Amino acid sequence: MKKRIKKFLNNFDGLALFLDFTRTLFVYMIATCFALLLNQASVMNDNIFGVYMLGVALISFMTSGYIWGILASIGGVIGVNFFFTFPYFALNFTITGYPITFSIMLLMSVLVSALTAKVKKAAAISAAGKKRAETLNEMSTAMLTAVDVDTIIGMAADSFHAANQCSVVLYLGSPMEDIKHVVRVSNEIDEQVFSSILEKQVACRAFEECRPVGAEIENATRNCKGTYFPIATEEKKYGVVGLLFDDTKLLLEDTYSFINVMISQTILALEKQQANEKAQRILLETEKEKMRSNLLRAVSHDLRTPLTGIIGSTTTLLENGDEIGEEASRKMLTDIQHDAEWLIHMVENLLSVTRISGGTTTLKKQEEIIEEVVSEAVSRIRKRFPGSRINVEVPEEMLLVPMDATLIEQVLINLMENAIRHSGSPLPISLKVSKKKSGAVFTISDHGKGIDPSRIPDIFDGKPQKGSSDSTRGIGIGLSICKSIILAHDGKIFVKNNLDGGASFSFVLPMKGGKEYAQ
Amino acid sequence: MPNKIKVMIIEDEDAISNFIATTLKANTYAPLVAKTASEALSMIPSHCPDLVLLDLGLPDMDGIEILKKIREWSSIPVIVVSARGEESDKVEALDLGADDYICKPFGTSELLARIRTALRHSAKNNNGTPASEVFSTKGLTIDFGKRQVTVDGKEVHLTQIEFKIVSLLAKSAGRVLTYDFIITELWGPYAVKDNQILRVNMANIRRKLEKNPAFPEYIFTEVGIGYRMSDEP
Repeated sequence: MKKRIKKFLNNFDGLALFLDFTRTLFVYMIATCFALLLNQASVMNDNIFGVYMLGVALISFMTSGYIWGILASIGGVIGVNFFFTFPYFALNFTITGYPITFSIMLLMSVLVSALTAKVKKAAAISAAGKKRAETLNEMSTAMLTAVDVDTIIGMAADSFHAANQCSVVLYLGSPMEDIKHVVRVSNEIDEQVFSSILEKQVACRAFEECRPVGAEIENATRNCKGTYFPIATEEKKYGVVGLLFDDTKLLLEDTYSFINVMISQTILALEKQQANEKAQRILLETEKEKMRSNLLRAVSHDLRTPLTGIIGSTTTLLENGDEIGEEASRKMLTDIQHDAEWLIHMVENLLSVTRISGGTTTLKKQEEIIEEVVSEAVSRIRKRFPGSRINVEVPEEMLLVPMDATLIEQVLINLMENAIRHSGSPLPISLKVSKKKSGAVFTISDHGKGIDPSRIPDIFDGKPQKGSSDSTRGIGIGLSICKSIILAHDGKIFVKNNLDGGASFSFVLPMKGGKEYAQ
Repeated sequence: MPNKIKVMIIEDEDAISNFIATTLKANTYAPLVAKTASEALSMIPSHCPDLVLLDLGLPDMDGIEILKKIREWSSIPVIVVSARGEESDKVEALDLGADDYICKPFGTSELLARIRTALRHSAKNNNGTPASEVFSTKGLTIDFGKRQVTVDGKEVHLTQIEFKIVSLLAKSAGRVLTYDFIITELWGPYAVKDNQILRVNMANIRRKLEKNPAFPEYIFTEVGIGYRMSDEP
């Protein structure tokens, strides 16, 4: 309610008019009194003009517009005639020479008031210009730090709102589809105005035709209250910004150009953002491409080796099975089994890769209870390595983490398998999950020989190890798959050597609010 | 030997059906092999197998369709064989009446264990004998009559709904029950098929029953499918 009264008063020009009138009258009366005093003291008559001139100058300075200065100078001429020329206290403009005197006085008063008004206007313009420059500066610095489109349009709307003292609506994309919009209003009524069908249609026209449309533009659309400017370059349309002024004052030319500058700023920020996103996407693509080619290289080597082993052993068994003896043939069969298991594992990894790099698909993320995923991964690894010892530790609290369970299971299996096969230590490995600020942290550590520090920086990049032998085949590819999976979950993966020996692989999965991973 | 248990293998890969048939023979079962769906559907009525091992990927018909056809007139136990990573297929098969599933690659011991469990359940159903009043596996004992659950002799307090879940799993011990099946059994057919409540309940049960929730002894999770109660003595 209070707000409404204030708005009403602001809008009511009568108040300002009344104030100006009072000021004029006050100064005029003082000037007259002073002149009367001077007249009584019989000081030179000529000074009376000077006193009125001073009054006119003061009035011009204190009031807005020319009108009060001119009125005061007319009043001054009348006053001199009335009070100080014969016949006293009566009006008589017919005395010889007086019309000229009065004309000169009128002209001078008008000039003085015109000059002061001009100076005042210039000061006001420069002040407004300074404020706008500041606003623009603030806007562009703020937008430099913006990280996503939402922030940018929010900031833009704030700037429009602050700089023009009006309600603002900013549509991203076509207003009719209304993909996204932000509103900054001075009161609730304006918000309703913006959401009306008529206003939206006008906004849509501005978007479609790529030119300003609305109440404040010459081709005013009937009944439309807001003014809509397209946010568009010649190549691309970004959206529309609509402004709703409290009073239906015509938009001043410089406000108009200022709005255009602000729109350009917004476009610049949006373009920059899009370029960034594109670069990010390309980076992601190259990352995936790299992984894929590494994978292919590894596949040709790593699949061929166990297959050669299997074929060799089976041929030997079939052809010379009777001669090589019970023990040797058992040994061969065990080797075949190992190789085949390894191949299955490899195929499962390959399946995971197709799942994350399958083009348009998004990860099937679901909230999973971590102990369920962990226990399945552990039981699968136990099936493959029956003799292995694994210490599992999960928090007492139930943790729900959004993830693609099959993929995270794959990561856990890969990391545990590496720890079992390559640590070179018979001590049990440990899998520990804990809750941290950054998310759920999974750590797999062993007590083995650790990792050569020179390999740590690019261990997840899938590069084949120098002098790699069959015993270490597949580590690189397994880890690079782990990295891709974790990255696809917006998580992080890292490795370090423990102080007391052995290596620790950890990865963090964000618990909530993780952005949907889409291509 | 008379009265050998007949197991029908529906599988198009010779290598796999060979290996399964050999294993089954070695374990005193009588294997029957069908390579295509049509062959299988004509063999089942004439041979009346005691159990069917069904591969979901067949050349002439979707395995799911065969399952539907079998279920139209018979309740013989069916174990579905499928590749990993096709959770939705497995869930569909289980919900359509398959008794269990087994993932490729599987070992012989796993296969034989699944066959034994499925046969035991079908025997129980056919004889019409009421399920025993007490279930026990390893250290866990459930007395359905007294509504009492003990772990290593110590009584564990479960809430109403937790007890219902545990006893439902125990009555089908060794078999995997899908999320949807459990929800329908507990909350009725019109309950929202949102497994979150069930999983939270299960997390609580696990904390009460298991020594280490991440390394369960009694109730196993089949991620994306459901739960299975251990049936080891």
